[in-house]
Amino acid sequence: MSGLLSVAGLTVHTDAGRTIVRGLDLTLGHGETIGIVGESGSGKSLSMRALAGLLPSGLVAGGTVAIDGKDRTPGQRRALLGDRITMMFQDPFTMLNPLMRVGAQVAEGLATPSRSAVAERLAEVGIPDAAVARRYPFELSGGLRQRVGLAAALAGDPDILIADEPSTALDVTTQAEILTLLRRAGADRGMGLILITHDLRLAFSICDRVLVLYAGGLVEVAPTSALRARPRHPYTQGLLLSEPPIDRRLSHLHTIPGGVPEPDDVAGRCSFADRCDWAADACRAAEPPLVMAAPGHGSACIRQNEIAKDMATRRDAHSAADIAGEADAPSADVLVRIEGLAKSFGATRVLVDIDLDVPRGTCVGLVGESGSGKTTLARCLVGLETADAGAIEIDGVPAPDPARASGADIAAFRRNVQFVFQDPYATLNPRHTIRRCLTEILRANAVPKPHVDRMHALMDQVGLPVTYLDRRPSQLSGGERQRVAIARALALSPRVLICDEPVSALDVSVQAQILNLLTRLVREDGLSCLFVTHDLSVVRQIADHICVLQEGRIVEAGPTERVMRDPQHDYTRSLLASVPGAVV
Amino acid sequence: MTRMTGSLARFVLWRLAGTIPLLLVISFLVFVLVQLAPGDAASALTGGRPTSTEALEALRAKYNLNEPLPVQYGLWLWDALHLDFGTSIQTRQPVVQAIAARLGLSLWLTAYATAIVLAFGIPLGIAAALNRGGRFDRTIVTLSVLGVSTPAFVSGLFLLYYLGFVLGWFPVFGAGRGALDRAWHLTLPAIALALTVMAIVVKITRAAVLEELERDYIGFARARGVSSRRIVLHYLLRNALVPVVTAASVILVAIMAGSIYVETTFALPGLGSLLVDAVRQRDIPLIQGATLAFSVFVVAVNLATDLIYALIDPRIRFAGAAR
Amino acid sequence: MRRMSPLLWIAALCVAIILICAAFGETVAPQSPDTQRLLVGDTRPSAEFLAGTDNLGRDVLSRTIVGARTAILGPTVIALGAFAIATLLGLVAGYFGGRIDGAIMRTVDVILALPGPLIAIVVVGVTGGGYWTAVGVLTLLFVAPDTRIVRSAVLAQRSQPYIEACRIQNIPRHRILFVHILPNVLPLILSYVVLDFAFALVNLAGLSFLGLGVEPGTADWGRMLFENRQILFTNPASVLLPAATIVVTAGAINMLGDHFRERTAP
Repeated sequence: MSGLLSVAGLTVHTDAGRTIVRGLDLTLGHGETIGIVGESGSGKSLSMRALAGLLPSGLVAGGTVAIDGKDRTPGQRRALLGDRITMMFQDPFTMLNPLMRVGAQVAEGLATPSRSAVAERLAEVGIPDAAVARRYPFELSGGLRQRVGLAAALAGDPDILIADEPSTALDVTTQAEILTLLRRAGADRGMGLILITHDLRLAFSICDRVLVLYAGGLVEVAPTSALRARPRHPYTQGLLLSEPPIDRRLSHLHTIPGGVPEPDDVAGRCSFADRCDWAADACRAAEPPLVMAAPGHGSACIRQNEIAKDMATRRDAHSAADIAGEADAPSADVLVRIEGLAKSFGATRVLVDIDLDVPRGTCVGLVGESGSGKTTLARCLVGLETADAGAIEIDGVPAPDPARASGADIAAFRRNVQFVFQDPYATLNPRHTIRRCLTEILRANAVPKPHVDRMHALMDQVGLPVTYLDRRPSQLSGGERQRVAIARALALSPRVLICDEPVSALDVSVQAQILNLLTRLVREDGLSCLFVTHDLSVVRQIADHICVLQEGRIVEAGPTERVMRDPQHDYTRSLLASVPGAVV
Repeated sequence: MTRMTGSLARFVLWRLAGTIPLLLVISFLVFVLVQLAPGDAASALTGGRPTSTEALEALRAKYNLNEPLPVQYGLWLWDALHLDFGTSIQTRQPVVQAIAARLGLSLWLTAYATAIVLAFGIPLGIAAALNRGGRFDRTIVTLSVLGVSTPAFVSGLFLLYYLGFVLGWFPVFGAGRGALDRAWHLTLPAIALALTVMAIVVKITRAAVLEELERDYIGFARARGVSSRRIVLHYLLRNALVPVVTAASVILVAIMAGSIYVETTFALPGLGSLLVDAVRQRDIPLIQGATLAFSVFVVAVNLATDLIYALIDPRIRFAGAAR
Repeated sequence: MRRMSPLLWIAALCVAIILICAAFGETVAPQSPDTQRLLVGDTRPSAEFLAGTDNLGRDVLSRTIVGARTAILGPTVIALGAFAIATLLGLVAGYFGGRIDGAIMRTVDVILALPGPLIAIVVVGVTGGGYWTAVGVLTLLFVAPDTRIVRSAVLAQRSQPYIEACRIQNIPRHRILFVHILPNVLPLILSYVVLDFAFALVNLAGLSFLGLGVEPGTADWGRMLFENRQILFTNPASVLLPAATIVVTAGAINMLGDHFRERTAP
């Protein structure tokens, strides 16, 4: 068990005594890649920072960390930084010193810095052009910056590399490349790689073993194939099942009800008990220890043997789950018609000759990477941006020209099309209660009183209790806030709802809740929807038709099933190939 | 490298071009000040002394007071560009001469004070930030609040009394003769001037460093084992100095305003005390000349700080040139 | 209010005392501030005159106490007035952008390019104006940096999704400005108002120190420094007491202002 790295009982507390991580054990060998997977609040990032001795002030680490068999204190671990152990961060846009050339930053870790050595390191991460070394970070794309970051991290030839969400801020195609690089670097150098991520499938794609964290504690650890096929903890299974599959469309996504608790709130019992389908009284009596069911496969569930069969049944049922019937043949009844739309910002052409139709009662997915123009298109539809050319028609009514149309016409048009924003934490006025928020809209649009019934109906429609009306956003979770945002958008009974990456900022289990809600609104309430996203698995689950956007042009469009199974355009194919674990 | 210097040159030209309209506006405002004085401009120019009507008429002709305002301004500006601001009403000396005689001392004082501010203010700010929450930091924070609340004339009076009078370490008035004597005479005024501004610089530097310390690139550098020394010098310093340089114009305006008070307190024959005397005696040409001199100085400093800013931060150069 | 250190409580106490002096100076002061005793002239501190007398025989301590009034009134008007105007300008410039924003900010930039205290000295001196002229000039000068502050705060809110949502939902513009944006920037603005107050106090005292602004004979801290400078060596208390009071008052207010600004900063 004394491989490269051995951790026992790692804890992280705030100075004030609040628990963030409750006792983590892990091992890492040379050339091995392990994944630390968890949603927000799991403590995955901070636990690894504690391991490296990089905790921010105000936090204290505990437990033992042994490197090469020798125990090291946090101070000693810090002394090993760069040399034996290194960490890479999430955001390539803030990771590098903005005022220093990238070559110099890579050279910092080298024992013998020289131009050729730097060029070698850059080539190793897939940057063959040595001239890049003379550039400043702001001159490079996100993908290039991430590669430079990796080169800088590897410069000291560390034995352990911790990569914190290394691809979250990147496009799906770049993401795949970075992950391959990481994997190869680990294998070539015999380096131990720890990958922190919230995305299980990502972890499966390059890791040998996966550790699942929940509310500050380790709930399951297993080799990848075992975890994927036979999870032994209900949370892991819930997480697995909540991930929207890329290969088929489910009529209903699996969700885990509720939200992630604070570690202190669930101390002394199973942290997952409140949300678990198999919770028993014994689960709440004491904190369950990690029990090894098979070699290398441990689960912190005291009922794991009892429920294993039941869990397996659940899994099988899910795989065979009714696949949403193929969307009915596209109705000729088109609700939203866009023709020849074009938009430029200064010299950059963001949208070029866009033709798009949204049939009534369907959801159209707009898929693209960053810079594709998808958000701009969405914003043009609601009037947050004005297109340079082209026509937009909703329900036969052409979009009013903001320069010439009357206020009343613009207002009337807006009532038909509403918007849901990406960031649930900025989408609501922090000082207004939900009730105030909704009243404001109803009043501004001369909706006849009483408003109370309408507000209650809206809350029901989005699945929130009526008591939430008197809460402020700070008292709601991310998922709840997004539901309020949807309720707000529905307040004026619009015909079409434009959603701009509405679930990207949410945890997977919460994401599923929102997707189910939107699907229900489309299917049962006859709402039409334009769903903008970069995530192909998500769009698979929600859209009847798909449009693929590349650099401002629609390169492919058609029914979801057809496009996903039989993509015609190269770009679509490359997108599908980049999805972690995709079967193409 | 040529790409860099090319964009830098373009940036310099762009900024220079932008200063000219500003200077014109300032010169117009300074010119218009004369209109604010109560009473007739001509009698203002006589300093209230009884004058014959012919002399008044001659005065009006000399100062073009019968022309419409824009013409007056044009004529005045023309003279100003030739460094002719007329003659002081009180001393009958050409204004330019009066200013030139006093300019040296004020520049000395300003430079001395600026040196103290930068030499002590920036290191203290950095040290406080690196010691965040510790006793040193808390002391510095409290002292800097007091410093900001102590205007130059107050600190001047305290220093004058205790260090000049009671302890007798420094002279209490005058500018001294010869370089060393001058430095000795200017020390108390320079310290008085520097204290408030140093407090501002400490505050800004500390806040800037604290903010930079939070950033990811510092964390990543630590994670790669980059030495603390290198992090402070090459990562922190350069990035944290950006807000300090941005505040340079605030700093210099504060030093300039303070110098006016300090010269009065210590009876130094500088530009500041010249201006105060001129204001008290409503010596319009002198006021105009001195105010314009001060303003031009501020504009020049702003330009210089923008240039330094562009040198430190390559992103600005590119953004400016791309216009 | 909860997490204030002992030092902050002392600062709050100082402010309270100064406010009492400003309101009830004549009652609090041991002597009448204006009584001249020409035969006595300037004297050092004694039992009867705790801070001595100035060269007209007036009690320094009483004058200092009563002087709190001019130290509070003017700066209050300046801070509140400047920010009231600046809030309006900043809201309009920040929200509407375009030409209005350009016009407002161009003007602000010109004012900011001028050395403020210098302009104040020249304008107040040349017009021969008194205390309220000085207050007026300073208010106008303060509007410039305050507008910048408000405008940045407004810009930060304007691009937020919740404001964009208001636009999409036909909320009228005036409501967006005053019901949605303003309440979210107000805490930040108020903390700067406090800091402006301290700065105004110091600037106003500076003008009095040069003999400008306040009318001769008024009990005003800056004015006392101007008048008593000549007797600094014979009765230092006549200068150092009002000087120290300026520092303590401005310092206490700055401390409280900083505390509130930290609490309201995002």
